[in-house]
Amino acid sequence: MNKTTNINLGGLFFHIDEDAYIKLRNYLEAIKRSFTSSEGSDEIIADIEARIAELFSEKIKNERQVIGVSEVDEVITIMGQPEDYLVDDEIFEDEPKRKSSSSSSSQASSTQRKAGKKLFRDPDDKYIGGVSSGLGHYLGVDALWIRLLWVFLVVAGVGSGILIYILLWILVPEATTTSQKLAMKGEPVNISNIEKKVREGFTEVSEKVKNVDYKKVGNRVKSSSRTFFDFLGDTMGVLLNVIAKFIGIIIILCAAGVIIGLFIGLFTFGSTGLIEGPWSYYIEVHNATGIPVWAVSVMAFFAIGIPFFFLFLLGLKILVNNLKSIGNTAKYVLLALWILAVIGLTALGIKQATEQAFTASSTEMRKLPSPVSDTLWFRAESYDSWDDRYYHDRFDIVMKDDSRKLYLEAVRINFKASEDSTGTVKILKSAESSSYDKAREKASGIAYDYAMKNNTLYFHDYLLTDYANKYRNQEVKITVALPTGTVIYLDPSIQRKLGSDHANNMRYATYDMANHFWKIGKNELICLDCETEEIPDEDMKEEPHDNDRIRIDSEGIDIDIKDENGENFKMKIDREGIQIKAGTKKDTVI
Amino acid sequence: MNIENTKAQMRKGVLEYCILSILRDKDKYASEILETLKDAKMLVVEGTIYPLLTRLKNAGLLNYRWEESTSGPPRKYYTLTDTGKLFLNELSSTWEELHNAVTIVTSQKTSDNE
Repeated sequence: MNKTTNINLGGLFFHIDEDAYIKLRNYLEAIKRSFTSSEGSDEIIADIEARIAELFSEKIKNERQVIGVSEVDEVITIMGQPEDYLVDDEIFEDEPKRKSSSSSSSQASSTQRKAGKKLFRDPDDKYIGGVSSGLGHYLGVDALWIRLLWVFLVVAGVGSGILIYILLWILVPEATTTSQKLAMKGEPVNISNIEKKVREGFTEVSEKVKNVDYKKVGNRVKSSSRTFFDFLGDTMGVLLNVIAKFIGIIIILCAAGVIIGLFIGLFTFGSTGLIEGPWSYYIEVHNATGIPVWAVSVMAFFAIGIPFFFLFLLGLKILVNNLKSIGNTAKYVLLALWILAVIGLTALGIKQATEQAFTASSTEMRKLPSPVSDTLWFRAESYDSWDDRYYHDRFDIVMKDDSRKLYLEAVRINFKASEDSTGTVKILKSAESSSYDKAREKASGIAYDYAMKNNTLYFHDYLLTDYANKYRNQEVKITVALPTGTVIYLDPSIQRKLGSDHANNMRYATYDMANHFWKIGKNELICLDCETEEIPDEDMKEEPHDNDRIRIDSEGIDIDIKDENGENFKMKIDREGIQIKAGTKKDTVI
Repeated sequence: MNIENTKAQMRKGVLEYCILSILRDKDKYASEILETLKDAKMLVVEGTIYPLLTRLKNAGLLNYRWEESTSGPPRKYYTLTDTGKLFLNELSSTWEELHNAVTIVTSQKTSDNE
């Protein structure tokens, strides 16, 4: 069953099947388009319509018979495809030129037809939607290469090729009518053709100029100048077109790149929580919002992707004249999605930020066995089971006692002198969260320990906390208070964990303090074995003199010191030997 | 070189001459012209003729008048103008010359081959 339409064709009345009607209408439009700019096109169309009507009326037996697709097909076979009309036009191209009235218009029409190549999907040569073959026609490349490119895009672009394909499938119209198929297969829009066109224009103009003398001058000049300006206009048009297409290509490439990147992102980072990946713990543990990461990723995808999608459309629109619109509904839906995504992301961002609003700590004090021995050795101990660790990095996930823990290396050790003769170890754990109570809870959730064997203290160089506590800037700060005079040795293993709260007499950077013996002084640590020229003692408190010189380098040792009493000490050790001079100023012998 | 294309071009090159010849003695409407041309296998598809008729008319070689028809809407009857007649005469002699020339050239070629 099918609907019918009544039409008036060449003054005759017909019942026509809806499908047949669409076919006939497309056919007539195609023909009309091939005549649009030639002289008397309306008349030609009217004649053709009259003839078609005549053919129809021959075919139908009575008034009530409906014209179907088969009748239309037959008529089209008799009348010929639009390209038959075109060939005719080209053959007689020379002829109307002689009659100057129609010369420029027919010329323009033939140029227009050549330039008007359009992007369509090719239904006659398709695997899926005919996008590849259509692109092939448009670019003048074999569809096979385009198909290979798709395969590559799908493999390399983690499926983003599929999205682009579907987009093109939706946006690019299918070539259903003959004229569309012709427009699809017209000369490819490429540089060599543009060049050819420009050259054609040149020869034409120059020939016309040459011919001026031989022909009727007045008429010729008029028409040639007209062609010249036509040509000038055409050239400008072609140039602008090329520039526009170039910009279009750049826009498309940029937008497609971003969209492909987003897609890859969505399917790798974004799938956290849906698919386990090596990155998933890392993201999950930083996520304060409680919203699954994949949801955040989808929002980010929309927030960034949608504007670029529109940019992509814009580029396509510049490049392809006959692009289908995606429709207003689709546009509004995308706009709404984008606004929602941006709002969602903003809210999440605020929430994430407030997660760090409060810092709280919990303190643990432990006494060292009394009396504190003269010399204490400090070492750091790393996490014992390397295999249990996930990333093998400073930020890690470990499995301990069958539960997942967060592993951090935010541990600092400082030293100071104690008030009395006891030694204490203060462990300060701190964390951040959206409220003080929560932060406190997270701080006390930090597991940290040290061990003492004989005279050696083993400090963990890491802290652990439950995975569920997530990463909230958890830190451990240890302060070891020891009676003055206690000697400590800082093992190189602890080097990276030394804090900077304690001063040392050598003005060493904390990093350099390892591998030395230090005595706990009242205000600072005093190095016992640092290889230096001078170790300031409690009983040596004079100010150094401006002229004093102590130099130790590859050339040797050069010391020159004076005190307030004029006492003078000079020592020089170099290749020449050793020279020592001491005494008051007067006694000095140089 | 496409043989079909060449054939079509040859046919179409003399189409104007044929159309004018058909109208030499009697005014005819499009379908009648078409009939004659198709019987003589001068035309493969009908569509070709319409732009051509319009072009000939615009060139002042043809004219047409509307005539009522018993079986349908009025028909366009084409007729040769005076210019058209002159044009036809000229074409006729050209065609004769051309025909002779082509015959001479092609038969010479065959004799050369023998």
